[in-house]
Amino acid sequence: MIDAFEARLAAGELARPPERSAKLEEIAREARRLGLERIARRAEEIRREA
Amino acid sequence: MEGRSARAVERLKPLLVQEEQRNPTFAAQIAMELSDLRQAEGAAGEALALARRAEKLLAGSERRDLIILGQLQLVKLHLAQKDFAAADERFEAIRERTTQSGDYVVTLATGITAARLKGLLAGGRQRAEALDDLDRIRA
Repeated sequence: MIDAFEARLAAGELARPPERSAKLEEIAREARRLGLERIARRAEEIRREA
Repeated sequence: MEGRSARAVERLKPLLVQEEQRNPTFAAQIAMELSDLRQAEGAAGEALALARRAEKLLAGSERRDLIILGQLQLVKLHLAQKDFAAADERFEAIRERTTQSGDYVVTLATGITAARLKGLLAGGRQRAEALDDLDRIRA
């Protein structure tokens, strides 16, 4: 599951705005729901870098 | 979670020191985990130092999978610090070895790292190709 999130994070990072922000927000939300806080925080960090 | 993460760091740090002499391979795995935790907390310098410590601990090890994962961790950290030249150079140095690995985690981490590098270093069509690569990895 974490592996799938890693690939999704990378895809979110490479996506173009505004899709990028939406994707990363969705990843953060799903990861947090599953208790994967580290993934959620990385998604938020990448989103902030935009 | 921040509390859990901090507690994990507190527990792992003495364990790392303890295992460095006794079991360098295990110590390297601890250093890599610590590096990941510290990076997530925004302590980039410490994360890089821990990843380099893991690299040293694995020097001479026969665990090729771990050596590659340690190198991929360093690539990831260089990318997080936007040091694309260092990331690319380090990845190119291990690219050949990654293709010879039959380890699932190594293959997966290599695929994701290669796609990130392709997408971040190049632009336009290469970025689209990198996204296709990541779709295939997730499938």
